[in-house]
Amino acid sequence: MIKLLHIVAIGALVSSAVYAYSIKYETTLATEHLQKLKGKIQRERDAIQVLKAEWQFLNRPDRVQMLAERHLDLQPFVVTQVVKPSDIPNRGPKVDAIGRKLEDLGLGLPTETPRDRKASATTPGAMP
Amino acid sequence: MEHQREATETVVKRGRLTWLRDVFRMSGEKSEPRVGLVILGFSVLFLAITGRLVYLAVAPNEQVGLRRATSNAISAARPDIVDRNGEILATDIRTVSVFAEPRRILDKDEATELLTAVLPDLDAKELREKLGTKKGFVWVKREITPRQQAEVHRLGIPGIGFVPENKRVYPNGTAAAHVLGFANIDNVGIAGMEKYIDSQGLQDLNGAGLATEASDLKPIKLSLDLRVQHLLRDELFKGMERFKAIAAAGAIMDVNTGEMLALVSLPDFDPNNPVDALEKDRINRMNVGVYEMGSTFKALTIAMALDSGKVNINSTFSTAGGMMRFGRQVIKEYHGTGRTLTVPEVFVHSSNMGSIKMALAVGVDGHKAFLKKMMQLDRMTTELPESAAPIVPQRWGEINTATIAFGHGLAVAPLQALAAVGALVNGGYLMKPTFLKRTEEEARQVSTRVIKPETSEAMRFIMRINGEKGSARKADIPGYFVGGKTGTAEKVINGRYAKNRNFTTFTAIAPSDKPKYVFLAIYDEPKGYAESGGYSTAAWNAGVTTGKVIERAAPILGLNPRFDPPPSPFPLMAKLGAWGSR
Repeated sequence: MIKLLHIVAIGALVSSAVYAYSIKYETTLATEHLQKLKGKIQRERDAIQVLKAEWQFLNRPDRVQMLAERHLDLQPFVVTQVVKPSDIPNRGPKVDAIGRKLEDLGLGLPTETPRDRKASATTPGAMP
Repeated sequence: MEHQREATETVVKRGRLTWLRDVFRMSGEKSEPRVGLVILGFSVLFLAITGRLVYLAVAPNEQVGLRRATSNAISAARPDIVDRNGEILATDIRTVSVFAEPRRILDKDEATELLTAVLPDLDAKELREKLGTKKGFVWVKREITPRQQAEVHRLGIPGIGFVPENKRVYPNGTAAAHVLGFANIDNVGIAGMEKYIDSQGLQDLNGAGLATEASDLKPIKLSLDLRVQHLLRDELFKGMERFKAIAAAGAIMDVNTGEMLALVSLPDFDPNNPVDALEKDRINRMNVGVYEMGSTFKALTIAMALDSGKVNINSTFSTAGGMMRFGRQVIKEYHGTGRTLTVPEVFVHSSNMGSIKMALAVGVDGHKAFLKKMMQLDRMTTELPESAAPIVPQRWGEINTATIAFGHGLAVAPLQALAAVGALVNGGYLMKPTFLKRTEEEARQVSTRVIKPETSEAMRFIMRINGEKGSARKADIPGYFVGGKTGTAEKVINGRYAKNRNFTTFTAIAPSDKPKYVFLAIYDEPKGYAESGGYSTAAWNAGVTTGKVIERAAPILGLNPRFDPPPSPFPLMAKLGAWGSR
């Protein structure tokens, strides 16, 4: 009976020791991992900071202005380019642009036989 | 006696012997001494362990000590500085610095040789001396490139290490140099807003070992608008070349909040490389320079006269004769008309005599009190640590009041004058300009009423008339209802006013019926040019520049262009039937 108890006790001791060691190793591993991640985060942050600074450096107004002057045809805004909504003319009456064009070309009356061109003077000539 | 002592000694000896014998006696009932010894032994052991633990906990080990030494030496983190729209004006980036622990370097000559081979700009002699000291920590070189770091690393010298540091960078270069100031290699603010940030307790925070990460610190939001700042500098720079001026300065202020949207002083410097920042001609002319503001000051004189009630908008002043005599001094009209002028005409024709008469109507004491109230006689302190006190006449007599009435004889910082003009047109609230973002309510709380709202309306009215038909026409950009005043002062060279050396200023407000912004441009010794017909007065240089600045800045600042003038911009002036209101 006592022997069995001893065996159980020793078994419990060994297993608890193993458990404790495994926990310890896991913790160490996790700490290392955490440290690595922290380092990574820091590096990323630093990189972001550098990129931000670089972004601003590349977007600094004098550089943008220089590039715009060299490559764009844009002009500075002037007031005369602004139109009030009330100044915009209303839409004109709807016209059949194609039909009018045909009419102008004399094709609007296809059934009519062509007459003497001289008789229908479209452009008044010089009067004597 | 002798015998007695021997007896006691033997007793003691015997006592010790019995105690020793007790210790080794195996019988249970007499084992207390042995138990006592065991208790004592374990107590000592545990005390020793406890003591060692306490020692380890309290005393810093070497590794920690080194880290502390470096953290004292490395440059502290600073908060980012951003403009009102969040654009970065100053930020920290990580760099690496090389340090040495001289005590751990075995061959110092060899180390010096190797290091100077990799870092050629190091002074070998100086480095050898540094390594020869008994210090635990010395810098070899600050802020090296990653490539150099790799090379130094490859040398493999024991006792040489790297430490990451914060380096301050100003990505926009010169754009806002005078406002930002700069920080030195230890990231301590030396000038401008950088110094202001430090004075707000940042250094104490770092001293306590806190806040070495920029991410711990909230960005400082300035009132500047980077785009406007840039265009103001751009226009002033172009103007400086065109008018061949020796210096230029300019500023844009929100009249309702006192926020500075832009402040430029040329020549300026690059805060990334501030070697020339402390040269004399690089001062911040808006803040540190004091100048006689010339006719711009007439606005103050007129406001004072109107506000005192001794003069109203329809009062008239005779300028017959074209000159006034004060003792031996003679003051002449510059744009003489010889007519009798009303108050708006005095402003439009920039009549010296009219201004003098108005100032004299108020009197010397009243004039002094008014300028004091307008913060023109004392040093104006803003967030920027640099400032200059105005030059006020020692004895202020009638002649001084007469000259100060038209802007001579009192030298103030342009920023001061700008704040005063802001108060004249915003309804009468005087507030110190600020470089930090703030709202109108916050501004109202720190402002004081200096003139009546009616006087403010009159000032807006006469500035608008001057913009429409007076000397400020050059800046009258259509759609923005600009008002303004030119100011040309002759510079004092060797105690005399030099006829051909001008200091020109131009102050403009927009829109005049309800001003939002006040613009100021200044040129120091501009020259005439072909189109100006040789004139070098303010309208031909500062005025032209201000016009361009308003044209470019107004859309950015959110001023809506209007084509029809506002229906009744100055109701009171119209009611009084002031000159020019019809």
